[in-house]
Amino acid sequence: MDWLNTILQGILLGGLYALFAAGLSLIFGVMRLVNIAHGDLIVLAAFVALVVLQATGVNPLLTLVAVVPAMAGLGYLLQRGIFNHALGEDVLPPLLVSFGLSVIIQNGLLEAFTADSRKLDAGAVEVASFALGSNVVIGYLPLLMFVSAVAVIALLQFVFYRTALGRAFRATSDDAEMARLMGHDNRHIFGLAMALSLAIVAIAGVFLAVRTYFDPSSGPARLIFGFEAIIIGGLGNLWGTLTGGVILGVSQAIGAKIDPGWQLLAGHLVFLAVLAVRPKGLFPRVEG
Amino acid sequence: MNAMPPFHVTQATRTSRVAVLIALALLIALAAAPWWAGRADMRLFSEIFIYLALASLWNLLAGFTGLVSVGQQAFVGFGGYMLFALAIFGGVNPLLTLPLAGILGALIAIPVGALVFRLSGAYFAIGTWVVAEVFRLGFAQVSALGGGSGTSLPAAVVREIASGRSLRESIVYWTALGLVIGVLALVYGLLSSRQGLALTAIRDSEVASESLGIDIWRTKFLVYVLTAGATSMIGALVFLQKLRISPDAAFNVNDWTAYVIFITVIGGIGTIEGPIIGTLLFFLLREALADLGSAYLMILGLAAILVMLKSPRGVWGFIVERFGVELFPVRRRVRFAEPGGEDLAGVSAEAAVAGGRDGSAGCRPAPRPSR
Amino acid sequence: MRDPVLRISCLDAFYGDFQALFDVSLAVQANEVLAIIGANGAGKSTFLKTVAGLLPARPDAVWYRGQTLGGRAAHDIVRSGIALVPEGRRLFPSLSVEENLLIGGQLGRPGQWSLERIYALFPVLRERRNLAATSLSGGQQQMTAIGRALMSNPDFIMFDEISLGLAPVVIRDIYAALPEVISDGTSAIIVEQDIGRALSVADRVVCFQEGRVSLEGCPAELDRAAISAAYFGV
Repeated sequence: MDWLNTILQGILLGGLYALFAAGLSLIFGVMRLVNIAHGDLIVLAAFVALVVLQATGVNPLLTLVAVVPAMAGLGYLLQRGIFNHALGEDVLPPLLVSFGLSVIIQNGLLEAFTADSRKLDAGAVEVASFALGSNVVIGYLPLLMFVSAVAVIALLQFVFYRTALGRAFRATSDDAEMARLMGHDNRHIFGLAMALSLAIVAIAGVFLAVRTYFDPSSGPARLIFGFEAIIIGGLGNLWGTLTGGVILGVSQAIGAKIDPGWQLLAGHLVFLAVLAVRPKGLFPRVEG
Repeated sequence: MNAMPPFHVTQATRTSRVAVLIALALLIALAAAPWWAGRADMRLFSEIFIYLALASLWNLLAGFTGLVSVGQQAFVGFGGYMLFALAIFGGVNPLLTLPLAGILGALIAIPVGALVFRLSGAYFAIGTWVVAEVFRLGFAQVSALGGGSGTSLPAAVVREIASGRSLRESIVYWTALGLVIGVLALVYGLLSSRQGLALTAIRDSEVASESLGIDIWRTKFLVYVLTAGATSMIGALVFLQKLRISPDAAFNVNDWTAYVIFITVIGGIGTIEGPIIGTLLFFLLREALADLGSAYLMILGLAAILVMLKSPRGVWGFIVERFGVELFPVRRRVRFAEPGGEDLAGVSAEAAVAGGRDGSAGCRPAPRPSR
Repeated sequence: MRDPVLRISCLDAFYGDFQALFDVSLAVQANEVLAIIGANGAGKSTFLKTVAGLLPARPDAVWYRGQTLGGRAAHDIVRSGIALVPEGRRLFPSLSVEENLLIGGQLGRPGQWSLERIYALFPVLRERRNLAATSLSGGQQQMTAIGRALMSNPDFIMFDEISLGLAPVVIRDIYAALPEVISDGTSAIIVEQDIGRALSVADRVVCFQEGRVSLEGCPAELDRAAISAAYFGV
């Protein structure tokens, strides 16, 4: 039954990967921007949580109260200050600007915090678990992460399809010029989208910090996991992204069980296999 | 209507001809370096050549073909590992492994390219990064080549280059010089050829060029494979110099991608002169900011962002706009024959014919509204 | 003579280096319907886009209700009460019919137009309210586009080639709804390639030719010869 446990761990890990991916997917959907600094922003959020923790001593999970608004505000400023000026017809500037941002964040964190690995201690909840049947053990923290991922995605779906803001996002994504004729200030709309994306990044960052050791160079791997979840699951479909994250998590878990050095490689190979066989992903959104 | 005056199509400009003479003089000086430069200087020159070559290749890929890869380190590392594999297990002379590594790199770029070409834009970029990661993790599993901690080039193999150390270093130096000249010649040759015109057309408008019969996918794929091969060759050279390889060094994003991208962007993406300027600036900055460690990378990143936002054509683009010079002309100019032998204002193939209408009565001449 | 509600003064417009409009001057009075006719490429759509703020203009080139409007951002201009029904409809494909209408009313400008009134005007839209907007027929999409513009309760509406690509019977139905659309207090500019339609619904007509105003006058005064000359520039 060990395999069952492994697969279960993989599924729950997939929730975290879906969290990594959700913010990335949101931004691509609204403004066709792929933020290469996304993973580094997750790590930044983790370090912000660390700072809040050191200042206040609360349980790491409670730092969300401060980290989420902080990252959301940063997202709005980043978008209006930098990304809005790079967006346009050409695909090169936003890509290179976000790459530059990625390098700046990584090295900034390195200067501020050194290369030491850290982890936030959430206390009892980290190891608390419950048993399901005789052989299966589920940790509360992984379960919480997975449930949070589902909740976040459900929230995003709600915002996108049932609110005026979501209407604005979809319209601006369809036809930015016409959206302006509806009275929308696109600069503001994009700013809100990035704020929302970084709010999700904040949640992902805090969970990352509690779950595993992280250091300033941990960003790119997170970006890659989120990206792989999106591609496996299918572009434009958030529930597909969750599925993609789960598939990735399970692949990594199985790989790790075979040989610890194979954890990452297994995930990448599954990603490449999906890319080869189903380039649009498993559940792509079909455009009308 | 009058008959059109006789014309011919030229590429060279007066500035470029002067530049050619200067370049030749520089070349001779550099080739003679083993006689006037010290060991450290030669290593610095080699490093400059390597980065110039890598930047020119990345520029060809991203600036001219529109394929923004953040995973070229895959081929740098692959080339390095091919050097070690062929030299140690194949008994091949290390110098000979360089072209072989290039061929092998191009070959492996075929299936890799087939995969990543299923993605586009920024997702393509991240896809190339994933491939580089796969290479890194893959080679870390090969214990025969040192696994995760890497390996050194055996002394016996090193001596195959030449028996004396200073001769060895000269040979490696000349190889580096030869390679960078080869890469620059390849890039310039490609861009001024008909393939190059096709690339520029694709970059300017995919729809229009497709309607003209240019096979976009195949052209881009060809450039990708060629660039991969050349990059692998450079990678083999890099580790021939270092004499030691490890997965982290071979596939290091900072060394082989971040620096290269910053060099190209700051120098001027999409221009042949850009990587040259960028490489020079990069090394000057490095000398000036040597003590700053990771802050140096931050400054580079910041500079790249500012360049992208304010002057996307980079330092060289700025120079071209202000002074109109062009060292490596790839645009074709139409020159009309006039009685005095003067040519008309160089109407490049891309320039639109200016209008020249008068305003109607009742309105004063209006200035262009600013955007 | 009262001040015109919209006054254009020596307006130039450029697409990059290409000049599309040359010193265009005209005025629209309150409650007036102005028709702009002209061949393809004459600059009619460019003109509307410039007034709507999608293309840059000198501040004093566009006067609306006594204020300079030129160069202001498009999202500000629509707040002032100018709405555009764009060429080609340009509905939002990701939104349903009703969502397209709702987003038109996002601004919350007070006025008589609401979802209910739009559905009363175009009943076929009510039946299809939850369908993807671009799955409707051409005529129904045009109705949606007009409804979307109306939802912002504009005082000034601009229609860009609303008959383009539609069957004659559909065009007739849409034009039949126009009087209710352009009700009390609203002024309008209608850009049309169909000269007959334009003349039948307009108070005044302006003809564009290669970016310039080539003719201006009331439909009753203009004869076909004059219009042809102005249209084609011969």
